[in-house]
Amino acid sequence: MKLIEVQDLRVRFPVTGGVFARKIGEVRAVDGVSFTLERGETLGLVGESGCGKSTVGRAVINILRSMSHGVEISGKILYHHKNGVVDLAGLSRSQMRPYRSDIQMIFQDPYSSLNPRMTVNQIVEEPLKIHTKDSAQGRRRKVAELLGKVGLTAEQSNRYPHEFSGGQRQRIGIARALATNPQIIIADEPVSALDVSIQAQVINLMMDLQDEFQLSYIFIAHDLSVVRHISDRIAVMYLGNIVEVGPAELIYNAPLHPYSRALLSAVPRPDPDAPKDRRIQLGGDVPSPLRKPSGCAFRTRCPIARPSCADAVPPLEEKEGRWVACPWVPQSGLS
Amino acid sequence: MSTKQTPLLQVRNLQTHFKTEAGWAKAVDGVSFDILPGEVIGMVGESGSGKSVTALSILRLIPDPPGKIIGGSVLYKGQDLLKLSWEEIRHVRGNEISMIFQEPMTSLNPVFTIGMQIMEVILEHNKVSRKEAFDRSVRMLELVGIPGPASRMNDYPHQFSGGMRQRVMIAIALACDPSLLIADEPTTALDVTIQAQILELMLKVKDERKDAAILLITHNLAVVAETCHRVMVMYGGKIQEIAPVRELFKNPLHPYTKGLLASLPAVDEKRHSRLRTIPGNVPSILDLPAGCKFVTRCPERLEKCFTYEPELIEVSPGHWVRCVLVEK
Repeated sequence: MKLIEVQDLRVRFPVTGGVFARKIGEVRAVDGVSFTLERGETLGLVGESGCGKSTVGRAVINILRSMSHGVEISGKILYHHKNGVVDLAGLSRSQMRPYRSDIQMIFQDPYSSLNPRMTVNQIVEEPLKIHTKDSAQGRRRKVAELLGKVGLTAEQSNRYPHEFSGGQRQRIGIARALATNPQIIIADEPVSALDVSIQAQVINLMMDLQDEFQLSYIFIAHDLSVVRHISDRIAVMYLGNIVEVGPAELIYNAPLHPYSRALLSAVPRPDPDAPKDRRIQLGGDVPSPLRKPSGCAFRTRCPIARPSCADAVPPLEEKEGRWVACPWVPQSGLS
Repeated sequence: MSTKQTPLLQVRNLQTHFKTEAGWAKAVDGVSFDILPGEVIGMVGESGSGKSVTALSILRLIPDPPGKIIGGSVLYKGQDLLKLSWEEIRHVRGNEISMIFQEPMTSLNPVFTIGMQIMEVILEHNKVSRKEAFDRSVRMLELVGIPGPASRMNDYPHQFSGGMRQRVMIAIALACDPSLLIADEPTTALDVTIQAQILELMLKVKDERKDAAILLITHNLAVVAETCHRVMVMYGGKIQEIAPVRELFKNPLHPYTKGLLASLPAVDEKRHSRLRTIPGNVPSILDLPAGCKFVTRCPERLEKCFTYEPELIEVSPGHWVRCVLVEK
C-alpha cells in the first residue's frame, strides 16, 4: 500500500550576492524526483554530498520553507493517510500540523539535535505536549515506555543530553521521533556520527522498532553497506536526480547505471583479498549544482557518455527489474 | 616484508595524559610499535581510543597544557623525537615526518593562496629560490592530480572542492619528500568515490618513494583492509592487537577485534538480519577499568580481567594480542 508518492519534485534554492543580496542564481538541489514509499518498507536514499538526498527528506517532512528563505518547491508529495490523500508540498505551516505527528525525523548529529537545557524526559515529552491531549500523568507513562523501548533506563530520564554518549543520544532522538506514533520516519544519516561498534546497535534498534510499529523509513546515508542492510529498495541520486531505483539486492549486486556502478565499486570492503581492480575510477569531481550540466548530469564523468546525452535528461525506464535513467544500459561488454 | 628490517620509527611505552577538571585522563597509556620502511600500517579504534593522540605525540603536537607526554620514547633514525629542542623538532616536521588531517577545510589557511601554502613548506626546509619553490609546488600539484596546476597556484582554498583540498594537503605534506606520512582519518570527510581516489593517490605516491612509510589512522576497517600491510587495534589508550592485515581479518584473537569485525554488515549477509553488536558504550578515558580496558563490554571476560591487565603477547609471528585468553 502506498504511503508516500513523490511526483516530479523540484526544489530550487536561490543564490544571492552583492550588497542588496539580490538573486544571482539558483541551485537546483532536487530536479525532478519521483518515487513511492510503501507501508512498512525502508527506502534507502544514497548518493554523494550535494546530490540532494537530504533535501528530498526535508521536502517530504515539509520543513524546507522554514529552513531556507525563498526556496521554490514544485511537484507533488502525496501522503495517503487513513482518511484520504493530501499533497504535503502545498501545505502551509498550520495546514501541515495535523500531519506532523505522522512524519517524524531522526537527525545525523545527536549532539546538536537535542536541546542541551532540557532533560531527556522533557525532550521526549515535548512532542506529546504539542500533538496529544494526554494528561501529565499519561505523558509521563508514555515517556517511560518510549525510553524503555529504545533501551534507556528510568534513572537516566532526568539527565541532560551532555551526560550521554553519541549512541545513547541517538536513542533519545529515536524515542522523541516515536513519541507521536508516526507512520513514517525520515532518518538522515542516523548512524554516520557514531562509532562502528555503536552503529550496529542503532541499526538493530531501528529494525526492531520498524517490526513492532509497522514504520516506514526513508533512510538517507552515504555509507552504502549500512543502507543495503536496512533497505528494501534503494534509490541512487546524482546531482538532484534519481539515476537508478529498485530492490536493494539488485542495485547492490548488479547495478546498471554507470554512476551506480562506479559508486558501488568504490565502496571499500572489509576483506584484504577483495580484488582491487574491480574499481571503476571516475574522473574529476561532482560538478557544482550551480553549474549543472545539461541533459544527463552525469555525462561529464560518464565512461559511456555520447554526444546526445547533453540534449535531454534521460527518463527512468524499467529494465531488468529496476528503473534506470540511462538509455545506453544494459550494455554488453561493460560488466 | 621481513621483521628483521631496521624500523623507521620505534615508539616505546608512549604515555600521553591530559589534565582535566576530573583528574588526569590517560589518553595514551603505554603504546609501543614499530613502523618499517616501505610499509603502510593502520591504526584503528573508536573515538577516544587514543589513536589521534598517539599520532600527535609522535610529532609533539600535543597542546601543553592540558596535554603532556609523560613518558616513553619515539626513536626516528636513531634519535629520540621526544628529547629534541623545538628548533630540531620543527626541522623534522614536514621534512622527515609529515601529517595530513581529517578536515581539509580547517587545516588550510583560508587567506593564503594554495601556491603560497605549498611554497612556504619548501622554503622553510630548503635553501632554494622562490622560482625553484614555485616550480616544485606546481610539480607537486600535478603529482596529486590537480588539473591545470600552474593556473591554480593563485587560487584560495575555498575555490577547491573537498577532494581537491585533500589533494592539496597531500601535496603540502609530501613537498619535502618525508620518509613517514601520518594520515589521520584522511578520507573520513570525503565521499566514497573521492575516498577511493585519495587512498589510491596516497599509495601511488608512496610507491614512487622507496622506503617511505604511511601510518594510516582510521575508524574504517574496510579502508584498512584495502590499504594496509599491518594493523594495530587501539582501545582505551592501549594497543590491544597487532597483526598483518590478512591475519587480523581471518584470525582476530582479541574479543574487541572480533566484535568490531562481526558488527560490520557483511556483503553476502541476509538483508534485515540482526547485526552482531558489541554491547554497552565506549568508556570515558577518565573512567577506564582497572584491569583490561575492554572488560566492561567483553563477552568472553573472566573474573580476573577486572583487576588484571595482560601484556601484549606474540601468538604467531607478527601477531600480538593483549588478552588473558591467549596467555598460557
